[in-house]
Amino acid sequence: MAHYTLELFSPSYTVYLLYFTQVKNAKQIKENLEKFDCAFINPRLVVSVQQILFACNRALFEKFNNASKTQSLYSDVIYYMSPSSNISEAMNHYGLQESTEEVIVASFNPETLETVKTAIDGVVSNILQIAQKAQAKKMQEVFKLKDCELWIDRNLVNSVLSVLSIKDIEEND
Amino acid sequence: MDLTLISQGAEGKIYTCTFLGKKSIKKERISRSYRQKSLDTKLRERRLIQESRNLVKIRKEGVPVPGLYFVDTITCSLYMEFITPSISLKNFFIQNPSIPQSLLSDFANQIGKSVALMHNVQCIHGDLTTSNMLLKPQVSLATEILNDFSPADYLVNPCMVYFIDFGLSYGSSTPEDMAVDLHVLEKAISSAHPQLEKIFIEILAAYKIHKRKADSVLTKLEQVRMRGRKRLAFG
Repeated sequence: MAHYTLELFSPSYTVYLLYFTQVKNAKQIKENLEKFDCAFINPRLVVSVQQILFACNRALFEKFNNASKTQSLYSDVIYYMSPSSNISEAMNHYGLQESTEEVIVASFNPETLETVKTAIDGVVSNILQIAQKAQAKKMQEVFKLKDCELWIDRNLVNSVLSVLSIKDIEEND
Repeated sequence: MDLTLISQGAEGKIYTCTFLGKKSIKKERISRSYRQKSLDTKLRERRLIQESRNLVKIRKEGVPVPGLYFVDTITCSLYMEFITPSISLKNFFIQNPSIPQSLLSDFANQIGKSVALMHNVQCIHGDLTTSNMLLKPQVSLATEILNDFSPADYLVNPCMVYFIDFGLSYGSSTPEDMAVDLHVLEKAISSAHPQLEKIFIEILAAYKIHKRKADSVLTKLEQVRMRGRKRLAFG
């Protein structure tokens, strides 16, 4: 289980992550989604762990400001993974699919992940592998990144985080 | 949060910090007590949002700018990529007395092209100076080498010119505003680096290649040079 600190908050928050491959019971998990206090994230459009940390950070930030977008903290995490402001589109891209064989589980509670471990029929793998598995072409399409932007960095991380950072940023009246 | 103040200006404070596990820059727009409270909040918030949107808009055009990591609308702070190793163009010019012409031309081309790309999407930087441009070597080097990169090392490694500080940036489509943007850069170069004045001619040449309808801006620039940055308000 990997854990990361969200430095913005005081005291800081810790995010716990587990990455499962060869998952065989995604359908069953999806049917019982509300029983788990965590986010199930589709890794195909995740460019790095930072993207997940960004979404966790933003979801918490909005919660503390009473500005959550969806019904739960963890569906907000999924929502802020996506560049789209359309909740169902975000869920389609980043939420758990019945047919999925790989999933990233994120939670602020380490005990939840222990429960998830027993519930998921799959292999726990190294979270750092997700970067190699991200579908770059599809990411570029979903985030509307033009080729001319990609020469700045050798990877998509900065561009992806930039796009996500300004999502739904509006002036308050 | 492990904040280290590295610079303070009239509008804000710049810190380095660790954010989402990475060394980052925090730019905080501080509250000014001489402004009426609600106006102060409104101004800081508007400028914060403007800066963050322009940063992302310009990156999309292929201009090297720091990656944006988070916009905190409560404390009016931006969290951004910490560009390292890097040196401001200003310090690079000051610390390297003799710079090969080919290198100057390379930087001039990059600057002219980037300013043109910004202007093509109606974004005016508003503060184009050599301290708001950073050189970052494009080579991948071992961390130990990166940590003691000296000013002279930038002479021998190909560098990318990054643009920073979009705090004064705004949207405009008039040749007038674009010409003033260029004029500010021209003045900044001639006052900070008088021996390098000629670089501006090359910057303009590159600008002309990449800017759509460059002629109207360059004509306007002639007029701006005659009268200075400010338009006559009366008389």
